Amino acid sequence: MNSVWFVIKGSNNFHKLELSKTLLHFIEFDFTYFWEQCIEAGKNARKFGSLPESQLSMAKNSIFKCHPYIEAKLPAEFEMIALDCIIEFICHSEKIGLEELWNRCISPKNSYERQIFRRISEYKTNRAINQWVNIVRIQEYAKKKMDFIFGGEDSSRLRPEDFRVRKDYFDLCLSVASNEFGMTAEELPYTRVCNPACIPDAPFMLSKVAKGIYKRFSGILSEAETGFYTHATDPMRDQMALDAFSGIKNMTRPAEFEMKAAVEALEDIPDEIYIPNSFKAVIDLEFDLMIANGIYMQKCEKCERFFTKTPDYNKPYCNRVSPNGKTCRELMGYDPMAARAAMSAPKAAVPVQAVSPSPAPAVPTAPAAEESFSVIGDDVKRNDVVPENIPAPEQRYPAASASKWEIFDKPIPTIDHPEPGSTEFAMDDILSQAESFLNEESEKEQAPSFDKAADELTSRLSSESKPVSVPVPEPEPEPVPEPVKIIRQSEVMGTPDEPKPFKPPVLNEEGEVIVPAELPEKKPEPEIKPFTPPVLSREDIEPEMLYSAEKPTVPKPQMPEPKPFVPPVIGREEAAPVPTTISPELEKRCQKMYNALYKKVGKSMAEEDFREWSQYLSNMKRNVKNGEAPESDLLGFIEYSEKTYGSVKQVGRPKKNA
Amino acid sequence: MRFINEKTAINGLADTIIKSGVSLYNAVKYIYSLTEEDFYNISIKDCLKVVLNNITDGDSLQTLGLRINEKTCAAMSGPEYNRILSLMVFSFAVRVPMLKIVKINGDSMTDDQIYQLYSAIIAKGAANYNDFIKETFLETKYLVKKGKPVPPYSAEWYKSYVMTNVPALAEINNRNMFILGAVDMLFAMFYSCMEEELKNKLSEYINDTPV
Repeated sequence: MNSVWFVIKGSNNFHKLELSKTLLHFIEFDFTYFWEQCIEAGKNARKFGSLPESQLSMAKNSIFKCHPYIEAKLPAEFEMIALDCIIEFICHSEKIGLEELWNRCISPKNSYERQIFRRISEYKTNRAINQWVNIVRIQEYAKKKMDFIFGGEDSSRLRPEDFRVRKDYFDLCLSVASNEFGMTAEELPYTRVCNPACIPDAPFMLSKVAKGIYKRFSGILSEAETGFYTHATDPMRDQMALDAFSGIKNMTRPAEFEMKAAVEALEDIPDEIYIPNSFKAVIDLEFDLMIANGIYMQKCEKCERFFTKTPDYNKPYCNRVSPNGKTCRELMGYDPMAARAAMSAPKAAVPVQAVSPSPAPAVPTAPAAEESFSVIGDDVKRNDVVPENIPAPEQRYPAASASKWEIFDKPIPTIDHPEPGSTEFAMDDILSQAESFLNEESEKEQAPSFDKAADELTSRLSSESKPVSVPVPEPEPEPVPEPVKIIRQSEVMGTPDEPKPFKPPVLNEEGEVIVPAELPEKKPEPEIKPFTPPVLSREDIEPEMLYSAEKPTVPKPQMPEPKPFVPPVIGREEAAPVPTTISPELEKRCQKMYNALYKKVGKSMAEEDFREWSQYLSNMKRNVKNGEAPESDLLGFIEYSEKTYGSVKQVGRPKKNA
Repeated sequence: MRFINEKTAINGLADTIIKSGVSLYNAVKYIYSLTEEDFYNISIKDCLKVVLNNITDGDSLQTLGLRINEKTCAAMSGPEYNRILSLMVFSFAVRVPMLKIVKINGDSMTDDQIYQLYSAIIAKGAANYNDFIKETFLETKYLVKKGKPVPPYSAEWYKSYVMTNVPALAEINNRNMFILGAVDMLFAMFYSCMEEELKNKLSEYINDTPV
């Protein structure tokens, strides 16, 4: 079961919840645009005395897709979410509480103040909550719960029961805390589940069938005395239900055609409908159903974001496309075609790989091995040619032992038989002739057939000739090949984990062998975490940071050429680069610049420019950390960027006349 | 006191007093409706704050979600209770001579102006049904002239009227006990705020600049 349906109070629609997809989408949803639109609308309202409805509705439209529950409740609970965001921003920027803001607007002078006063009055009288703050908190809650249940290094080795226990433990912690805070279970979020006919608004949601039923029983129902129930408690529920049943207890099954109409109307409706009473209840429901249906998440080790595990892939990398156009799986060497082939035919012969940079099995000679490590990427071309038809292993490597016994298949040369009487000479003759024959054959076979096969194969690969069946001893059955690691030449610093390729010794001018210098260890790639907008809390937001009246115009920057990567040259006496760390202040500056430019994307800065800039920054930082560039280079780059973007003239309020 | 336009000023002041009467009348109803379902949701302190900061707005308490209707204020929907509005405005009218104490730029209202204001209010419907309001205009005028303290504005006349003429509110139940206690606080504070509002209006009519 990958999706379920739910309904909400006051709506006659069914809403779909796609398990794991909805949750991931909500957790990763970026509310920055909505937040900025609301702040802009608030500033305009302050100026003109009324809220700009068009701007607010645009802001609302940007978030209704973040979760089906919000979409369902947008006309009701979340209708004033934009105003809630404005109220929160005012309280934070002016460092005042809700009570003070309410007191300020208690005698409203314009419609803006009246709306703020009305909304805060709703908070105070428990008719509403600040839905903007609520969404932000729910998102945080969902992230925490996801991390608690599915995070951790050992999550890939957990059993399904372990995930369920983690989830139950998390929920139990919340129950204990709620109990200590004095809240009862009835007051907290929960989800009901029932069949479609029992949902609260069933007569209206299933109106086609309900109308027919009403027609059948209208006479009885109109004569029935209406009960008056106030404050129904649990013991009263049975009484109320059976009082209703008393009106229809003599009903029989309807006529065939009416039943058929009911079947047509009801057969497409799901068997179970969920009725959450709050947003948190929907989030909890999704977690419960995911674990009940065996849908688990895992954290990608590359981008550190969660993804849904699938049976056809068991590595900890996700399928999201990163800014460089490749998915994390592709970057870590996943070949979907090979994996699908392996999944579909696990016992068949070794799958044919169109591109096979790894060395052919059981081939020890050097040149082929070196070529086999040629990388696939933008910078390097392949220098070996894939044969058109790679025969199956049995054909490629015929039984080597057969060659030794081939001589016995050959016709034995004729031997001159001696005259009768000279039997001794004849026998010696036979033996010597046979011996010489045998020796001729064995001379041909002095080189072992294994090496012969290798030489043949090497020459075949290098000379671009047609494949030749080489007599090579039959290898052991090949295991399923590991996914090939695709490494960019520009990033290669050595592959300490993989077997080092054989390289012929380098001779200097005097003919001495030069011992190659040790390549420095490969440093892990610096991971630029995806930018997540800061959660709105009063400590984080700086009013002056956000208070820009109009969009500034940004000139397109002339970025300096990136420093080319210079690999260390083997043979010369050069000091190995010393890795350095970037100072925390500079790191902070880099992050600040990144955040500031990210906000400009789509407005005064093109996305491609921002990607180029961020790629350049990450390369620069990596070079500094690896010791290939000084920290001053990075500092210079940041200063240049600040100068370029800091020179943007902020078109703001007109200057006061002195 | 010299007004820019005396007739406008007198009518304006009369309107302010009448609107204040309507506001107080509605405020009592809204607070009574609070006891129906929102006793633990809405703070009476917030209700008082809203009413006292919007003296002339008769429906200011709607922002707190309160509603006056048959369900919430059934006991206050009869013709006997409706007379309280005119009594309320009359109770403000008889205390108009207290405006003589207000001095702006060393100037105060004349007796004639005070009497014109009183007449304007009476002409708009204020009446003392069955003489329930014990105070009179002349009595207040005398006390002000002699410099003697005028008794503070209270809800005694309201409670005595309700006990006598509105049996539904005279019953001993939770709601009635609550409202009878609330009006004691409300009436006194409301009158003080109304005096401030009248002072501001006077300044407005003299200088023609909003306060």
